[in-house]
Amino acid sequence: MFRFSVERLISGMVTALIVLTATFFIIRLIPGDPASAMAAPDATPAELDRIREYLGLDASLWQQYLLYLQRLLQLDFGISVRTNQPVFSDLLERVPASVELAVAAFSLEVLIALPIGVIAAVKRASPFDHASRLASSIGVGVPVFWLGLMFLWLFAYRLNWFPLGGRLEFGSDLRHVTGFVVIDAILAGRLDLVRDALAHLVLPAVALALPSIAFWARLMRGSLLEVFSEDYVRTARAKGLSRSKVVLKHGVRNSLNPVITALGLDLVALLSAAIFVETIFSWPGIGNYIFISLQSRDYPVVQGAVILITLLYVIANTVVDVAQAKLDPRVLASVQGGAT
Amino acid sequence: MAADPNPKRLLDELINRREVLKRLGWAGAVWTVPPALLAACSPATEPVTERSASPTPGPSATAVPTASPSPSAVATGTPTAGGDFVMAVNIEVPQFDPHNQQSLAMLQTYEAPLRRTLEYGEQVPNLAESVDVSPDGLEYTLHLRSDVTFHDGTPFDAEAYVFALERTAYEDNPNHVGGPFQFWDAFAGGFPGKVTAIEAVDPMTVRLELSEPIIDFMFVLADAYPMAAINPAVIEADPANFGQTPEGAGTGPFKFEERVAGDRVTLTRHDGYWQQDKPYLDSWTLRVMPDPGARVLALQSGEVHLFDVSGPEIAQLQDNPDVKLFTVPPIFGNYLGFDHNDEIVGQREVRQAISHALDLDAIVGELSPFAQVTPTFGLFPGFPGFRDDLAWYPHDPEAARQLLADAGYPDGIDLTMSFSTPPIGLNTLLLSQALQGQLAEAGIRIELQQIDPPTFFQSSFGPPGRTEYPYQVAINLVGSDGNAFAMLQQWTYSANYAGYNPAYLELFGQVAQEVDDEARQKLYGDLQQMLYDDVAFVPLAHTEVVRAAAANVRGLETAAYYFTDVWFDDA
Repeated sequence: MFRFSVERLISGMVTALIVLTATFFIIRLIPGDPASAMAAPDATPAELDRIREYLGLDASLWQQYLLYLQRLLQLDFGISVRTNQPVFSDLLERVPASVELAVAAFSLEVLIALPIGVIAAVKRASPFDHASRLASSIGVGVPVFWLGLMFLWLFAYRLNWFPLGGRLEFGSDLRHVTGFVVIDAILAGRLDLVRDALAHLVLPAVALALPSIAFWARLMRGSLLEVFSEDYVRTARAKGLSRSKVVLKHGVRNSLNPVITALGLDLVALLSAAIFVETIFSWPGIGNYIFISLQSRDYPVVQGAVILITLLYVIANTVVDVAQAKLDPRVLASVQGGAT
Repeated sequence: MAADPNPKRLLDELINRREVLKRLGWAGAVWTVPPALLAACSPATEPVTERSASPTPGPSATAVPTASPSPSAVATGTPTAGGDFVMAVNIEVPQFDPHNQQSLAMLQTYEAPLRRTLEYGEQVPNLAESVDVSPDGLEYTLHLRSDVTFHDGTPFDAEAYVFALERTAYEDNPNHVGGPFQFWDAFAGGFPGKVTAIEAVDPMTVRLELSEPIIDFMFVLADAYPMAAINPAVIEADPANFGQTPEGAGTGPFKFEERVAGDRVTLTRHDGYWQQDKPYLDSWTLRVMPDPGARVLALQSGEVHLFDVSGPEIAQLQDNPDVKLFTVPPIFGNYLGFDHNDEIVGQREVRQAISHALDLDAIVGELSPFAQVTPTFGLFPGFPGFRDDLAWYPHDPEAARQLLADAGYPDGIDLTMSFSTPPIGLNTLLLSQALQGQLAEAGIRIELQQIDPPTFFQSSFGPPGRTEYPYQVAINLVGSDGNAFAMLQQWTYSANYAGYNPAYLELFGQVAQEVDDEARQKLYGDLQQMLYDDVAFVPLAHTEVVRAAAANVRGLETAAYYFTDVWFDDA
């Protein structure tokens, strides 16, 4: 198991290196001066000189590459053209907001989608199954930006149940300690602010989670039905085990494999969807930041974001692989069997 | 009239100025920037000026019914103090160093010696009670107000002001750290560039000396970025990063309170502000709301009181009784730019034929209720030196066909028209199709080519007198705040007209040296005549920036960019 984990980790690092290298060469393969590609469209000659110096364009390509990797190791992604601040600190400032939203959405996915999928599989062809299938089809098909705007209009504007975006009510005097508003409010012992923060979280989290919920519910159902047809499930039933034991212990556990693979990657995919959701709900996270930077052609930020998201994917992939091996000994066995 | 022997050299030196103009004219191309960058060169407001009192027939005076004095848009009644004002924008304010960053928020916290009014091309006293200019235009003496304090209570004086200017002007100044100082570079052409002396003559007088005339230096003196008064103590505490924690830094009506990254900045009332009893508001917040739909909902629900609107939202908000739409400077104009190097449109007859083929009156009103057909080109109506006698080549399809035939194209021509979709100016997607339809009737067959805004933006400008231009015909955008000199300068590098008519460059070189106002205005007229004679461009339509405000907000019509006079009428 340990060896497997290390192998996964190494292969993850190789993947990351390939992506980082590709990112390095893409900017240099664009015809013309890499500095002007990276600069603001209206950069002055002095600004261009600064960027050339930063990229080390006078040195050989090999030295530039090493300089680039060295900077990345130091978490130096360059300076944002738009904000004139280090990209990394800009991103870091916005990470808590995005993580808070992603965790909320992810929790909703797991807590809602998996039970729906299990019930739909167990009560196959029941009205519940049909209803959930219909709802899922709609949920998967609805674009998230439309859904977000409809949520805002209906639940915030018309019904006034939830706030119209942002993370906290205006004028709230919460001191930012961790950057996670809910946690900060708890630390400050302010129940009113915890409530407020959660209220702000509901609509964007649901909008972000809904399409995935639909998808996971279908995936869970399908996977579980497949397991139900396996011999060991029939054996378990024949042994006279209770239905819930058959479903939960033998069914759900063995059907989780594909679901976990997808869920792990979905946590990162949430970041991409968050670009829309954060924009609509004025949520000051990474998605919002990337959206604005893309539009203003803030190349260092876009590059930083690409690298960050890639690394997150690689990490998520590795964690998923290891978790799978842990949950299902067959995975480990097949890999090791192939290796030895 | 002093003619420069080498106008090209002169223009090369002036080139950095175009950065500011580009930002102004193309703020929208970057989509996220408009409020911040527009503010860069935007006129201020003279508190008592009524827009309608403008003697010049500026575009704002002839706005359509929905825009013109709706009852709530006029500042009637007695202002009441108090209230928390929220404006929604689509970009955040990263920091508060006015020498290196622009933002509407900073215009509330920092001030310059002068302020621009809503009258295009006019400045009024602000931190300086008056400015003396020497006859040769090389020496400016600023007589500062004595009742101004910084936000921490420190008195503002000549010494403090010189301290701030020296920081941005001199590269060897120990406080010249934390940024490219591009705004100073843009007008002075280096560090210190054309400003050869900055000195405190007495406690309330500052003298600036120039090595050569800067024709629009009064505009510069009204520019609250390079010319901002910044508290020396705040700069010294952290010269590179005071913009992150700018408490006490400015003299403006509002002081910095809090910034939440990606979310908002909040400013609160500066109680010791030199304008008695102002500002009226308790606080002023800039809130980041990138999604237009969310902004509209927030305005309707009262969470937000103001934001800038572009094309599609105007129609959506026009009939909403809870929202008032109005316009503020600057002006943005769409026009057709040409590759003068092109075999077809390089011919004057063809360009004139294109102008004759267009019936702009028929389409412009449909595109935006606030837009007007641009009658002639070079300057916008209402600008000092505007030539209203040069009516552009009018709608006349027959004349268009004849001109094409004369040019050797009796069967018409095929052209590629490029455009991009900046959120300011007219809706170019619709405009391009309308133009395509009208031109087809005159035998000018257009293939439309949509270009992404950053690429389009980048290729729309080049060095003065450039000969390269990548688009055969393009729907371009020009922006101006009333600085006639700067606007006429744009035609030296926008598309490649000046590359094929060096006479324009040469004449502009003379303008750059002409300090006598009257003589310069005449030259402005000559430049416009040249553009007209050559059909250098084809003007389409122009519009000011359109804003949507909550119905209970007053004083906005005088507050294009300063919120000193804004108040809530909740009676």
